[in-house]
Amino acid sequence: MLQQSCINCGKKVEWTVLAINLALFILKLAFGIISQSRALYSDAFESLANLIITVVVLITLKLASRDADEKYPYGYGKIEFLASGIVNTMLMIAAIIFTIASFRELIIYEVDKPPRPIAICAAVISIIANQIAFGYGRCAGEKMGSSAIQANAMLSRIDMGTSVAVIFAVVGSNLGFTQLDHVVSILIGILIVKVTLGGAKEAINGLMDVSMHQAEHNIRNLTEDIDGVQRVGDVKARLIGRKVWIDMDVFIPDGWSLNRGLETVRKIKEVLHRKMKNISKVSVQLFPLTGEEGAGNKILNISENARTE
Amino acid sequence: MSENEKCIRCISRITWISLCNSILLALFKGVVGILTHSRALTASSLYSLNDVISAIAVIIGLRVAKRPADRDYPYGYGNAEFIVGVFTSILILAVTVFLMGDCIRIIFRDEHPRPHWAALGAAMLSVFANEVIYRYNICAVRQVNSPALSAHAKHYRADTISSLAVAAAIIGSMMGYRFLDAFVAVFEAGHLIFVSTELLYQCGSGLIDRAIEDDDITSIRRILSDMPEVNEVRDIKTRQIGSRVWIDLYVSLPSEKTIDQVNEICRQIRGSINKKIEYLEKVNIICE
Repeated sequence: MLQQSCINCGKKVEWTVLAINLALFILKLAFGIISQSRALYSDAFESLANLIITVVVLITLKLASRDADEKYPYGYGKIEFLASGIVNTMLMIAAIIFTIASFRELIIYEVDKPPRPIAICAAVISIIANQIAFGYGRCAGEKMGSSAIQANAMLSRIDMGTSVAVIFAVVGSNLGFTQLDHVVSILIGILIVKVTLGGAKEAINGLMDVSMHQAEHNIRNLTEDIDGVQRVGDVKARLIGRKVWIDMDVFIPDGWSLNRGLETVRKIKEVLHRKMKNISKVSVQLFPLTGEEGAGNKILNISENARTE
Repeated sequence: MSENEKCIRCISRITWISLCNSILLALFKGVVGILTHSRALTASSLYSLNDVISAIAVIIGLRVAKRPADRDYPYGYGNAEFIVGVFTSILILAVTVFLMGDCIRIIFRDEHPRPHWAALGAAMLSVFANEVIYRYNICAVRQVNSPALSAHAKHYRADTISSLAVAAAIIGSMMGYRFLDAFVAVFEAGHLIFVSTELLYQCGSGLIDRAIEDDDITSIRRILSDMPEVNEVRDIKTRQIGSRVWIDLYVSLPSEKTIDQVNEICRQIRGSINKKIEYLEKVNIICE
């Protein structure tokens, strides 16, 4: 169980990151306009992207913590995936448009004026601020086991990298490689597309209830050793937001009373909650061992009949 | 080949014909709309694009979502249907908002473009094509009585009407009421935003595991209360993965019964729920 202080800390991290990104966005945009650096522009866009994602993380942290109700019996945890999927897609579209625009400018117009060196100031500030945001966010994300906060921390790290690239671009352009500013801006755009694509993929996997192979393997091993468990059937683990939900089928000796079976279930739950992190609900279906071992799945699964009908 | 089979083949052909029609119309109206600066026609092309996407979502739903569950996705691929819905509705929303901003800018700055006869031609063609497809679809609906197809057919009727409005707007602009084009475009965009938001909500709430209809849950409760062996129903959790329904029942059964007897009861429960609930995929019965 998470402590309340920990949850508060998570919220505080996001507020801090939000403030940092807002400040960086304004700073970079202003310096981008003053210094005429295309690379710093795209870097400002990167900060804007982080800003939007942080707002979404804040909102989802709030929504996802709501309790399950009649309409959403499994709780609101999956909002985290949905929000991250939508935001990543939108940012990806924006980044693609931006990259194409940079590319067009690079080809069509003769780039002759290098950006002013003042752009470097903004980049240096960005590197320092992002390093702080990254360290803070990663720590809190790991403690809370929140994929959203951790992903957000990674974005700060990427922003740091792009700021380094901006420094190179500005210095290089002023040394005579006038195209460098635009080239770096395109590279940053491509990087953003790549990152958002990864984020969207992860969100889709969460929404599709992707299998947690490692967790399932552990659950199987832990359960098999428990007294009274003859065989562990189907094990499914899925993430609802930050919590793991487990569905499993367990076979116990025939002739056992339900009471004895429930005792076994209690033991299973106790072991799983003790040995594994972030377990929310363990749903165990009990089956007798006889006769149905091979055909076990057929009996459990109505759809097989429904589909052949 | 039986009469029914013929009908089903005919319907699958209609789906493809409708799809081709929408793709061609979307492209044609889009290109003509942008070239002639007719915002109303451009908005109308987004409508057709919406049709294309919903048809593609249906096809993906039929292909991908029907894939059986495997090791990587133990709950199956049903949610792919919802995901396609979410992403495409966002895409449409983004383009529509952009178009609407453009129209509002035109109205405020009073920079209405000169209408072109080509835009009128495209709108009339769209009216004609959509009406034909609608007639074709509605004929098939009468044969098979499919609610999904009927909703789909109504879509084309709406398209016909919107294209008529576009045509009227262009004629109006030609007669001197220049503002009409952008005005109609704003209305069309507003309606599109409404439709896409609804789709977004439907698919999004499906993705975060919304429960099935209240009526269905009530009938599950009724089935359980009719069974004397069920002492207490602790919780009923339901969700829809794509079009299939998954149910988790948390019940208390007599604890002195043997596990074999309990299993028999569970089988009865599954059997009677299967009769009541359509598109049932799986019922998990967890004794507590």
